[in-house]
Amino acid sequence: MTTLTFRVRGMDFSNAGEVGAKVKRILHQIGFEREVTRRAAVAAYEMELNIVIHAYEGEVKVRIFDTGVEIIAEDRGPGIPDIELAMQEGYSTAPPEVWKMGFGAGMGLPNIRKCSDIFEISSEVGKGTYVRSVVLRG
Amino acid sequence: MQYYHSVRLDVSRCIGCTRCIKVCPTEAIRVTGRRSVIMEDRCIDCGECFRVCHQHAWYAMADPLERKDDFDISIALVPPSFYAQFGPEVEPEHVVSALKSVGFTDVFDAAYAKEAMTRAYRMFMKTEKWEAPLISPACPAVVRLLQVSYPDLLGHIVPMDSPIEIAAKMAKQESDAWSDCSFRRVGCFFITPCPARVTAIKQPVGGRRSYVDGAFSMSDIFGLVLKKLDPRKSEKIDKMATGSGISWARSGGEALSLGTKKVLAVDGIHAVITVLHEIERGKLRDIEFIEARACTGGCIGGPLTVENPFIARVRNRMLSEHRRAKSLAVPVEWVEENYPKGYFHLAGTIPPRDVLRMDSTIEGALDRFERMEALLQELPGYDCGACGSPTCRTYAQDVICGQAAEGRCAFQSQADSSDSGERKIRITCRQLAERLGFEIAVDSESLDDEVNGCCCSDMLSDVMATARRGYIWVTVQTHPNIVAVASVTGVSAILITSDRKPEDRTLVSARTHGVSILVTTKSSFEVAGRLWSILNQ
Ligand SMILES: Nc1ncnc2c1ncn2[C@@H]1O[C@H](COP(=O)(O)OP(=O)(O)O)[C@@H](O)[C@H]1O
Ligand SMILES: [Mg+2]
Repeated sequence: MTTLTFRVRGMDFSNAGEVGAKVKRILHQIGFEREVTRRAAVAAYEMELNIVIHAYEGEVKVRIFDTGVEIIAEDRGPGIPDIELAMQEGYSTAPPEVWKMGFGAGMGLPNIRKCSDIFEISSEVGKGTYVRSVVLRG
Repeated sequence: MQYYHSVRLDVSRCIGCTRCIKVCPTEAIRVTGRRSVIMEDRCIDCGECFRVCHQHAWYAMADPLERKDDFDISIALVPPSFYAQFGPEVEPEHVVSALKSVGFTDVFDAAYAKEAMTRAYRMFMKTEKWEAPLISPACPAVVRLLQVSYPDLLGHIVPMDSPIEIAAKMAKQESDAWSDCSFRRVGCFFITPCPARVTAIKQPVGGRRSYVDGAFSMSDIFGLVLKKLDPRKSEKIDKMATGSGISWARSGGEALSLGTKKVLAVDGIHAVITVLHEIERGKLRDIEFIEARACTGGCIGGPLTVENPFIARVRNRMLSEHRRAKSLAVPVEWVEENYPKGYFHLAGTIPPRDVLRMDSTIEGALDRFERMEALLQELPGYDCGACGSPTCRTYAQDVICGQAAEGRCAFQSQADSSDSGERKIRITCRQLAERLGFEIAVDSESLDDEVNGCCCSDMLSDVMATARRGYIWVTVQTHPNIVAVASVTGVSAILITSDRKPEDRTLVSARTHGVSILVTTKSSFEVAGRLWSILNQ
């Protein structure tokens, strides 16, 4: 088992997407199936971007097992008042400047759930958000 | 399958300076035993190594000009970058005439095929499903970069043949139609500005045979053509490109030819990588087409060109402006007729080259990955290249995957020696020889190196693969070649066993190369056992 930890800063768009790309590269190097790699990379990418867009700062932790990948994002931020609403496709509170950059379509959380075999989310308003995704092989 | 490469190393010139390992975009080069060594399956033939090599040790393997004489009809495929090698007074028609004087039966303007490509791209984008951004298939080094380092982006490449393949196909069909001698053998030869195209011709992606029968280095043909150029001799060819096709020689030309604003042109392999990164990060979905060129400036900046690329750029721009036309030279009807027949499409798909995997099994790879990360913690992160690997990370990976010896990092070993109470015994070769009664046949400096291992083998290729700097090599071989093997691997000494005597030539060669030779009456078996017990005390 290997653990990789990535620090992510809010509004740091110059590095946004780096975590997803790195996870993809490493899983490829280790030899995970393309589809597993893709799903894990998408989940990592969306978690990273949610911290960049919506939170102040946070961490994405990737644990790689021979059976699959676990990705955990934890941040310090405003939190999500209504998780059920946030999970709906197309729901987004991202500001217009962020849309202009091509982010904030409201598809991130639903995408993470779609890619995951196990999905968990919890949040405390005013404190932060926790998202966990497990992508299993075969 | 063995991978073919046109980029080669002349080992007699290489001094192991590490300049090339740092510029290689796929980290395909290492320095071991004071020589560069190329990892064939990673090389994309971009030629960055020979741009930086001060020793001119890297070169490109193209075909010899005589190759064209194997054919009844030889057609020179001329790219627009070739016209840009000559002064402003030289028109393409002069070059055509000179090429015929050099001995080609015919000349085909590759830029004409590029215009056909422009039309074919437009049809592709109109009629087929694709994912933005599309990446041009024109630069062979970029296509190979994607195969090695960005396999997930392969689906973005326009699934068409390169313009050079299309040019050869057109040229051959033309030739049959003109001369009505289809029973004769027609050979197409590309005048190439880059080694990557040579590779692409010898080994096209997707496995099908190339329509091109050979590639001649632009720098070689340049000299021959220059001698034959005559201002009074110029010859028109009817399938000559307009300014649009000609402009493909410089970066931006291909992208511009599409006539849409949603294009991006990037040149220089390291710049290309930054853009590929952006695509990987999910950006650039608003761009329809990316023209990516491995060489700075585009094909006019190819490693096999002669003229300074900035001057060539001006020449190319002037020529394409001069020949600007309302519509492309290739009739739209011709493309519309041939496109649906699959004239432009690639026969197969472009496969990834899975060379970055750390192990054949996931469990093995994970284990290696962990050990690599742990080793990386001990390394300084300077990426100095002194160990022979381009970065600390690649060095860690090389060590873990058994491709490099441990202890090559100058900084790491310092850290080690300061805190090592219980490390293996420290002993020099000379001390060992004394202790075990080996006779010194050739005494050179390396005898005072610390011994850090032993290689016991009589098969030279096995020794090449396993021996390292600081090792003792135990063998019964006595011929002069063992000296070369010792100096390439950097072993501290050759120990010849079983009372065999090194040949005189071996002794002479060892002295001149600074290789130490020890001899003993004991067998390899006994010596190996003794060395083992001492070194592992
Ligand atoms: N880490 C987070 N911190 C605070 N709010 C979040 C976080 N992640 C998601 N949200 C909220 O959930 C909404 C939906 O998220 P998502 O589906 O990823 O879409 P998007 O990020 O495109 O807005 C966001 O607009 C935001 O209001
Ligand atoms: Mg999101």
